[in-house]
Amino acid sequence: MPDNILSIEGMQYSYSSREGSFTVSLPVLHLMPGDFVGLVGNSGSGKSTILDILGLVRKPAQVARFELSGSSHPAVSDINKYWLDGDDAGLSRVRAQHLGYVLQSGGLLPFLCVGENIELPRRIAGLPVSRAETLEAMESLGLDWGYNKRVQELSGGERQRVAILRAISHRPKVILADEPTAAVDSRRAREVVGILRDMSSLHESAVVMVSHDRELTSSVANRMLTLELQQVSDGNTHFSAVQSTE
Amino acid sequence: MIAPAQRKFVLAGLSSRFLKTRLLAWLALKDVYHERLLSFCLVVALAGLVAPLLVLFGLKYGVIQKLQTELIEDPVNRELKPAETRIYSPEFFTRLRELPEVSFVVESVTEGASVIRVEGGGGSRLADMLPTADRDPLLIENNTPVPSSQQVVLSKKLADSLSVIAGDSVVLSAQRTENGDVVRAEQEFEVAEVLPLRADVLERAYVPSQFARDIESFREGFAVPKRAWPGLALDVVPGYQSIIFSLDRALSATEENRLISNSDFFHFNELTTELFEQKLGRVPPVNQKVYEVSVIDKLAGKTSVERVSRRLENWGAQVWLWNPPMKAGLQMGDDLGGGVANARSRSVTLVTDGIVAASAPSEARQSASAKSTGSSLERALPPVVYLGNAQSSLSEEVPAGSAIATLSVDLGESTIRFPVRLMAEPEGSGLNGTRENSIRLDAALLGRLSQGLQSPIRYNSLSGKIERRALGARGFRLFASSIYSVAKVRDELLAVQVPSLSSLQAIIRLQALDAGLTSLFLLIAVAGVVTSIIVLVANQIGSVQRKREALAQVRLLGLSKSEVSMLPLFTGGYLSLAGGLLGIGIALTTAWVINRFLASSLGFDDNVCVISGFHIGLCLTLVVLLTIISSAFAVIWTTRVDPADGMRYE
Repeated sequence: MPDNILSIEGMQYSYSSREGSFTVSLPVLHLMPGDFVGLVGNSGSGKSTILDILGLVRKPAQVARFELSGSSHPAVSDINKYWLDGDDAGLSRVRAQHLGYVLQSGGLLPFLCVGENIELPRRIAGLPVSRAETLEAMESLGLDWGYNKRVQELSGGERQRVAILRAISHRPKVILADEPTAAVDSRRAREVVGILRDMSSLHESAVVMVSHDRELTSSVANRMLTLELQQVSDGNTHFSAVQSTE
Repeated sequence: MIAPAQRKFVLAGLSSRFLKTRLLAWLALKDVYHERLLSFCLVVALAGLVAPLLVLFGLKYGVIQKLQTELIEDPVNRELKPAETRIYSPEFFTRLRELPEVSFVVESVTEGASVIRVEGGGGSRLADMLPTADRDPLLIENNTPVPSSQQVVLSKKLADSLSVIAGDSVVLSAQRTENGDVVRAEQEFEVAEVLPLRADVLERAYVPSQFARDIESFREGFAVPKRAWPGLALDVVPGYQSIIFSLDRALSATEENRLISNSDFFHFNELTTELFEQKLGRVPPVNQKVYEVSVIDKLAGKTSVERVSRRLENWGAQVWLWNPPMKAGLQMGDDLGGGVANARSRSVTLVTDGIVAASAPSEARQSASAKSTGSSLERALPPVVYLGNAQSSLSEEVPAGSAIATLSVDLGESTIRFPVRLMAEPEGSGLNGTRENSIRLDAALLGRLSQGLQSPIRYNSLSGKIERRALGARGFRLFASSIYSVAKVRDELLAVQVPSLSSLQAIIRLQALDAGLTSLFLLIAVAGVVTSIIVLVANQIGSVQRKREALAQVRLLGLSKSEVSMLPLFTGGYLSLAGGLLGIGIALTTAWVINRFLASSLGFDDNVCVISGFHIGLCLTLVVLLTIISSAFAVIWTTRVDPADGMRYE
């Protein structure tokens, strides 16, 4: 049985406002290569907060274990230690090497052409860049015509396909997708999540996808994380991720 | 020593950092290109600031600095001229030459007295003669060689008047009058060079200093053997301040005027008995009117005295020739024969009874072999002087007949020493003996000594005569080493009572202008730089705000806070470098246009606008500094970008 590539135990995030306090917790999450986890829940349940923490851009309030395993040095990264040390460079390095992102509208940089956007994570990670490989990957998604295209010229579906190619280009351990189908119609949405599942499976990456569309997500995910309301009392709201297998 | 594994790790880190820096530079370049219209506008705006500044600096260095340098370095502004004509000793010049603030000094005569005739090119002009010598800054700094002993330099105006050019021959001449005859001294010279108009606007000849000295000697009546110029007799002709005379009648106003007409005498006074006695030490003739005719300043010469005396003799007047008393020291013994070194010097007053002896005692000669000098040369007998009222105090030292003594007469600037035969007043001299410690001299001897107050004289021990001596330098041409030394040299001259004229006020104004202009240009430059900083800072901050999401995105993709903060540094660098280069290009083009089409119409031979490599280097250095300063603000803003914003990127 392959090792976990991401292990989170006892994670909790809280914040307070005038309306009261809000807590979201993730008791346990272990990701293995090829996992496709759908993260669903109502609006305001903390889906994006969980995704930010997984994406190393938000510091958890508390966490018992937060490790990312990889073949590169170090073999196991203690993410919590980076946060505690305030090591921004270390967190950035882990993001560059092990994480890929697919965002709502693609999140492509407007000053780079399509091909350059796809190759950017490899450049940031310090990996060699081959235009031929980029073109080959683009061809697999029917985008071989668009290496030099400006991202503004792409349709919503095309953008998302480019975003998936960019997210996977540096072979990350985990791909985080935040509502990747929000900007496309339902037909395109199925196509996009299908490509995401196929590509991650091909490169043995784990995917955590946030979506408000439970049906679409469950069609591609092998596990579901549902943020369920645990308690509302005295202005305190607490959501917790409950794991289920599809 | 670094272990191999450690070295590999360090090298890998350096390589990774280099790759990351190259990636950031590439991303910034892509961004600048992506916003090319906006970038172009900013580059043009920066060029618009850089170009006028550079042109302004180019003009400052090309025109104003050139003018200023000319004014500052023009030797004319460093010249100090004596305000008074007087005789300057060789020691005075030695002291001046030792001053580090003095770059050049040469003995001179006053300009008015040094007029010389210059003939050449078929013409003849009277011009000022100025002595020159090696290192004369007026000539050298105007690209004119210092003339050799056979050459002269002519001012442009003089050369043009004579129609001569460098290489032509000119004859310089001066003349003096001897007994109504004109005696001329002349010398032919080659024109070494013509001094530009900017250095001298008058008709002037710059001659070797030795020639100038020789000309003045000749004018004073001295011979210049090496140039075969003859000299006059060197005897000092007695000069008198007044003629006192007595008449048995009063003179009418007409007779008074007639008496002094066509003579050196000007004032006419009737003397009281007291004044007569005070002046001549004797009682005036009984029942006679006593008058005095006197000069204004310069002593009356032989011609005037003879003319007036002849008229008075015709009227049957008794005549005395008078000069004011002179201060002297008297030592017993013959200074020239030795033996007075230990003798006591007494202060005496030299007076005259107004009588000129029939024959000058000094003309008689006696063999010097009888004297203790041991010389075989003949020496004249010293003149006779009478003890006057000093007789009582000297009576013990003066033998019954006569004694040899040495007189040291104070001539103001100098002293003349000569031996005298000191004799007791003869019986029945008629002198009333009212003056303290006075020595009575023959009127002619006092007349000769009085000439020494106005021009140099010396005692010739061989001839026993008092002779004229060359005047020496009566002025100088002096240049300070820089305009900043002029005040110091002026003070040094004042310390030895030599007032001078200089361009000090103009120099002070010039220095104030220099400082003012420099401050002005500095202010303009600072305004330009500050404006550039504001433009760049505003652009950078605007750019960071505009690209906040893109920056968050690259943070999310794995660039650290410090790495992302380099992006505005690169962006600012590209824009300011492009702006600087475009500005330099525009400035160089503008400078070329100014130099090509405007320089000559502005009256400049050289380039009006000079933008040197130094200026360009300075400009690019400033651009780099601007980039760093302006990017610093943007960097701060960039570090505030949260990568979490990248997750919500739309």
